[in-house]
Amino acid sequence: MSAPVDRGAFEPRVLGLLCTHCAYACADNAGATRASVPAGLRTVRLMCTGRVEPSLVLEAFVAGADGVLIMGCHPGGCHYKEQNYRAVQRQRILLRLLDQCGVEPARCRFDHVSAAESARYLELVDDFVAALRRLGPLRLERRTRAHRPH
Amino acid sequence: MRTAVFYCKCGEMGGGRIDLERVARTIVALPEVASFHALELTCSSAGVKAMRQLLVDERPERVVVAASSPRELEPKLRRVMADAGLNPYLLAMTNVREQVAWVTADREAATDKAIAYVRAAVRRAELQVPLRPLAVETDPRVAVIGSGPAGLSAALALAGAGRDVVLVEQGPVLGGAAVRLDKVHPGMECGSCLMDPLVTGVLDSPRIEVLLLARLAGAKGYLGNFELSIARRPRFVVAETCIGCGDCVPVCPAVAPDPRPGELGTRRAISFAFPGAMPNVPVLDAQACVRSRGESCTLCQAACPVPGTIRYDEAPAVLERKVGAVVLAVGASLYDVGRLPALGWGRLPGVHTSLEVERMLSPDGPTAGQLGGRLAAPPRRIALVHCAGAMQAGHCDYCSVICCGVALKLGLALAERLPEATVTHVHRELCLPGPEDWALHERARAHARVSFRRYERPEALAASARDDGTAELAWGGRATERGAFDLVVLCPPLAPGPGHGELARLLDVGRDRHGFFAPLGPSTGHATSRIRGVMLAGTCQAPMGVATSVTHGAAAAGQALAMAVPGRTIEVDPIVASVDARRCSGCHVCVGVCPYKAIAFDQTTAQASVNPVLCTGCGTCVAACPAAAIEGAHFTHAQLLSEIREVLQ
Ligand SMILES: Cc1cc2nc3c(=O)[nH]c(=O)nc-3n(C[C@H](O)[C@H](O)[C@H](O)COP(=O)(O)OP(=O)(O)OC[C@H]3O[C@@H](n4cnc5c(N)ncnc54)[C@H](O)[C@@H]3O)c2cc1C
Ligand code: SF4
Ligand code: SF4
Ligand code: FES
Repeated sequence: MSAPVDRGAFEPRVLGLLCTHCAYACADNAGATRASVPAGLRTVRLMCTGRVEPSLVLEAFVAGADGVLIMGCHPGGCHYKEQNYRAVQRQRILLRLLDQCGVEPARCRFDHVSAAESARYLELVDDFVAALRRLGPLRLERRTRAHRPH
Repeated sequence: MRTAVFYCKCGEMGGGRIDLERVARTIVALPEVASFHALELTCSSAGVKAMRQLLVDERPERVVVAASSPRELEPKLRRVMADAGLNPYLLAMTNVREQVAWVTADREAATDKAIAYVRAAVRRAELQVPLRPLAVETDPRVAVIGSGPAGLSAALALAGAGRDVVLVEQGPVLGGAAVRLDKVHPGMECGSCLMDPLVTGVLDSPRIEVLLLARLAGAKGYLGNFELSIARRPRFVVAETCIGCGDCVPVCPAVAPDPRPGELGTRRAISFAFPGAMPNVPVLDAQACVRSRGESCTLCQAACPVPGTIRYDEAPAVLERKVGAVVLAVGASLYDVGRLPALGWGRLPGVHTSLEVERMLSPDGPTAGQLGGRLAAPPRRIALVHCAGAMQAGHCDYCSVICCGVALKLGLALAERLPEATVTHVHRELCLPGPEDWALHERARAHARVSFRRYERPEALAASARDDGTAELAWGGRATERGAFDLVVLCPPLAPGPGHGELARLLDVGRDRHGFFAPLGPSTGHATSRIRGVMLAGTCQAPMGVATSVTHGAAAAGQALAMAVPGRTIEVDPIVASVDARRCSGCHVCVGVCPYKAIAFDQTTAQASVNPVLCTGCGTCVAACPAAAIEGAHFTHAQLLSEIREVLQ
């Protein structure tokens, strides 16, 4: 349940890249239970985790994310056949890439939830946010919080 | 950019904590925002009406709606956009209810987050472009592959709806596995009698072109526009002139054991598939015919009263057919008990399969209803082994639902046919779905000469030869868990047929972990495959009985009717990928990753292109293209990037 907000504490900024069919639906269901989600989690809806290209994740870190959480359907449950397997493969490469760019690989996680697993979704988010708190804010030289696309 | 923002108060009503004043103030101050409307309930009919009116009055260039989940609301709001004369894809939605208001305890933090989400939608909307659904012509004809209960039922339903159907069957007759059954549970009609209305209905229909001895050899295209090549083997007997007298059969000198599973007798090179099966025209097996060994026999031709009917020079043919949809109804096979050597099939004369016994019991079968086969005398002690190869890792790791019913049916038939015999069901779990299976089981339990013995471990099953020629069957380690039997009937599960892999490859339909064709969804998409335009029916999709197969066939026909409607074009969702030819380096990566084979590669220009009809917009190729040459409409790199940057502020 929600802890009292300590304004002084580090609140990680987390980008959630969620596939619409399972993970985003799961987040919606979690919302319907009025559960508490860290305010720093910011979700973006995709059709499928197969759409996540490494550059989107890198850009997210540049734009201010302390962590990126990619969530899709369970293995075998992807709505476009086996795209989430591809996404998992790509994740391995991505983690290596992050390492080379000076971002701890632990700042990017990939997980699977079904639409019905809102309790698990909340746990995964809380667990990730706790891990990011321990890691502290991401410091990238190139990064500016005021980064504007135009 | 003139953007109209609609903000729904439903989040507040559900107990959310957002400072609407502050959201409104911040959003209105954005340069691209022309108006901000807080609506009571956007999704209500009043809300929709109000929004539509405002859109008509203001004619904004972009529209943002901050409300509940787009998963439910977006399709509806897209229609409102279209109604108001705006392109539906100029709408950007953001969910400030489930993703913000209802999950954020702190009012300040919730308000900040809501502002970030709405601003992200405003910036995203700016990058969105009008999209139009693509209209594709469809061919109303349908191909049905396989002519068992499922395929026949599908073909009849389609023809009944006025569609032209091409029915492709690899065998020489119609009816599938069902026409070979002695009695079909639960109605206990004879198999060929049961199938007769379906078979004659198909043969009589002017709308159904029946291609026998035919298999799919190639497939191109997509929903509405399939081009099929069908390879047809010669029958060597002209069906149109054959009168079905059978005079050709007894004169044929080439007699050999019948190679077909379940058939225990011998067969001549020219013969009827099964007595009574339709069409009632013999077929000449070129390999078995002595002419294949260079001999110049023409005995059957000489015996035939209709000159020109038997033609030794008929050649194989490849036929091309264009259809809008394909129904796969290729059935299943019984699991090969040869892969369970401990059970003695092929080694011990008393061990038979359920299908062999089914055929022996059939008056039309190879033994004319006599319990002959490999048996020396009518059996007195009979064991039926349930689940032979079922629910067993390494064999069939599933329950095939119908086989306990089949075993009970055969057990009762044998007990009734042989008044001296005892019948022992050696079973594991008993699967008795539905009232009729239970009733059958109750009848077997009540029968004085039928008994039940349970085994726990399939590994314990073993059959060995006794000196008196009978089989010793053991189903456990104890002395009470074995017995001597004259006839052991192995009841294996239904398993994917040998040709399924080839069909899966040709049509690119997926298969489940057992090898059955995978449906679109396990519960709601049973009669459709994951390839648009390819429907699934009957036991090729999962084990089931005749009744369910017939229903499944009708369901698949219904799906095909709904997908390819004559005179109507298919509207294809414009959220698809496209290749920028100037950037494509011809690396081929995308072709391999697309799960729907939607990407074609032109060898001459060395460039990839996406077929928007096949593309489902999953975006995998977009992420995979090393040259960033592929863009996913409505989820472009720029749109996602701007959304990501803004939500993170
Ligand atoms: C021993 C036994 C007893 C049974 N008893 C009962 C019973 O009592 N009650 C009951 O309800 N059910 C029973 N069944 C099950 C019943 O046979 C099936 O439910 C039913 O036949 C399935 O219908 P189908 O159309 O899906 O497939 P099938 O009947 O198997 O027909 C498939 C057809 O497709 C053809 N085909 C296959 N591959 C290709 C290809 N590549 N190209 C073209 N054609 C192809 C086949 O030749 C066949 O004609 C029994 C089955 C067996 C084996
Ligand atoms: S003899 Fe000729 S007409 Fe008679 S069944 Fe054979 S092929 Fe047909
Ligand atoms: S978006 Fe998905 S379905 Fe469409 S072409 Fe790319 S990989 Fe294939
Ligand atoms: S649709 Fe959810 S991961 Fe592919």
